[in-house]
Amino acid sequence: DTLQWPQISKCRSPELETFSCFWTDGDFYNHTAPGTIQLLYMKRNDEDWKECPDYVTAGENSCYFNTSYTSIWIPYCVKLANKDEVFDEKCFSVDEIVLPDPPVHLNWTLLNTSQTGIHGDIQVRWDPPPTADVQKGWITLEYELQYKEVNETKWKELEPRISTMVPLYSLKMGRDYEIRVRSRQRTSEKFGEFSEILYVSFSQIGIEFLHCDEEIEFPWFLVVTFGACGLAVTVVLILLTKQPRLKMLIFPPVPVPKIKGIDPDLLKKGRLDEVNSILASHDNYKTQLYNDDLWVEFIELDIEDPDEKNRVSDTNKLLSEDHLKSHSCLGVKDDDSGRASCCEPDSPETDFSASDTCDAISDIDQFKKVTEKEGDLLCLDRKDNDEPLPSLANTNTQLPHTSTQSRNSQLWPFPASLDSASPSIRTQLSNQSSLTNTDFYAQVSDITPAGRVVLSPGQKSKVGRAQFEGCREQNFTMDNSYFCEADVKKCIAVTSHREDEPRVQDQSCMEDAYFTTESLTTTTISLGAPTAESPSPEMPVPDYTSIHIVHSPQGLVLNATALPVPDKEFNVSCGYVSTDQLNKIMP
Amino acid sequence: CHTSGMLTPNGKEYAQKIPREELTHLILKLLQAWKEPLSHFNQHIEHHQELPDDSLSKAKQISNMVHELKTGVEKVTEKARFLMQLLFIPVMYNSLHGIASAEAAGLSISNEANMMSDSDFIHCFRRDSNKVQSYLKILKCRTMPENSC
Repeated sequence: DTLQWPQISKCRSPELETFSCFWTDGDFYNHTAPGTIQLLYMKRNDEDWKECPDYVTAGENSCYFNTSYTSIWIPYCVKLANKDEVFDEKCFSVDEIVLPDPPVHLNWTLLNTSQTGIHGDIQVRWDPPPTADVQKGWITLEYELQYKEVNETKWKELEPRISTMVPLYSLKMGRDYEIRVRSRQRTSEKFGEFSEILYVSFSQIGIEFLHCDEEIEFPWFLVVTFGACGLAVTVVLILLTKQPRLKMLIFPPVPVPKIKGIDPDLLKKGRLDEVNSILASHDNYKTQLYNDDLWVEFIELDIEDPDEKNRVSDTNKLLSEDHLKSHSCLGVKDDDSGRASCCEPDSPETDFSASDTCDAISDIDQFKKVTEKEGDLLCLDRKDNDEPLPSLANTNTQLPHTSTQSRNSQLWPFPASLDSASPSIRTQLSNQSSLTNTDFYAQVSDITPAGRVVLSPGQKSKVGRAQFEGCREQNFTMDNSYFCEADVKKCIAVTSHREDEPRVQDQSCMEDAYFTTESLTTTTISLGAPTAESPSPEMPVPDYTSIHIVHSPQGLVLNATALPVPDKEFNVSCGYVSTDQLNKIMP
Repeated sequence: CHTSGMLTPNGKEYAQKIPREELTHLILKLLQAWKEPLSHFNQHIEHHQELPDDSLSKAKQISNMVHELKTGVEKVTEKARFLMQLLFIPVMYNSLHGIASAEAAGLSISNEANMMSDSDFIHCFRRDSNKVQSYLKILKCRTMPENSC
């Protein structure tokens, strides 16, 4: 048989003021010489082990430390030892070993009874253990109540709470109950001992009750069955009803996807400009929803509602196309052949949308968004040039009007020149109305080096801007090895031309202009005087111009012809050229 | 524990004998001594991957509570001092000075807290929070003995 050593069974403090330790003898006394077992203790700051001050008060095999020996929150170590050897050792601090005494003076009172007299509520009250000084707040106790019917085995528990009274609801009046309470320190986990059991018997207080052995339970089964049937009948009736209002009330129609502010009829009728403006206000506006048909439709609509155009007119769209990102169509030329050769250099899209340097005018931002895919539109326009021309001829006079007006409303740096240009525009356009087979846009006022042809009533300001834009775009393509030969040539012309322009123009695009110039001048030798051929601000724009590329440093020649002869070189040149070829081309 | 050097009443009688202001001063000193180590500890355990998110948020919560408690005690102390002066009760302890010195003392102690291991840290914090709770309870029941005392 194994020798049981003396062990410290537990150390406990009932009220955080004193504590006692208990141990078991084990078999030791029987086997070896009965040396006196001692309990020694040591506080943290002590140097030596001291002996237990009181072996008696707490009972046999115990050691009681009264208040003078107890210090809270200070680590103690106790050990059970003989003279020779140590049997057991334990270290703790007093605040960790708190196990309160049980509550006392349990009693109950009847609160009320149910109408049937079968159930009743009672209130149970008790007092805190007398040893714990709860009143001065030295220790805070929590109580847990447990109750059960007399013939049951399992106790029902309530949540621990601080208050010393608890209501018990819905006890059966015909049965007897047992109640017990125990307490613990609020911050501890272990409970103390249970109190004495309180017996609850309703017969004692002389209540008359109907002794029902059977429990009347709520007829759930019936309720559920009838409820389901009723609901089914109601649903069927509603579905079958002819009244749409009731049906709509109970079963509302599922909303179809809808964009705020846009009437689906708008899209059906093809009122694209309105749709455009609405969609533009949304962040993720994508013009991919445009296709050729819409564009054609759009052109037709212009005939019907000429007054409606203000800022969103075709002309303006095309005029402001130089705001477009470079990813859209390039290499479009002023050509009746309808060829739309779209080159797409790898210029970063983000640059243009992010930078506002050339967009000092909010209107232009609007244009930008609204006409994001103008390049494509332009290409398509090129394709469709021949078809809608006759129908559009008579709108030419009106359109430039609106466009110029809108132009005037914008914050161009030189509005004065605009005004001067507009009369000439109008005269030009009146001339051109006789040309029924002309393009929708009567004249080329500018060619962007990116390959886009700007057709406009010939605002010179636009010219400058287009060139700015174009060369800025062009500049970014320099980083790539391939880009349009045509672009390059145009750019040369543009930059050469641009230098002549008044500095006023540069003010809003200073950085870009600078940037462009820098990068281009690295490859171009010198930019001489601008050619007379390239459109100057003062020059009246011819009715119809074509691009005739000249291998000269001066760049482009714009021939004013009715039917421009497409330059073969130009057609082909929108294949990509490498940098080497570029250098050859560049002067 | 880094606060072990502080002289705090370790028994009920001592805690009840000590004057209110001094007890308040002690409470503030304790709270201040834990402010810095708690934030330090929070940063330290944030990198522990094995701890569940509840623990981390709980630790942050505890830091906030300690801070709020400190602020609350300071406010109450100020008000009590003001009230007592209003009622011509001699205030032996200049609580404003007391608050400042408590902060300083607490701060000076808190630097030693960096040496502790995590388990020691938690153990010490538990003990000190227990202390603070008891002292506050005593203070409360001394001044307002009605409810739940």
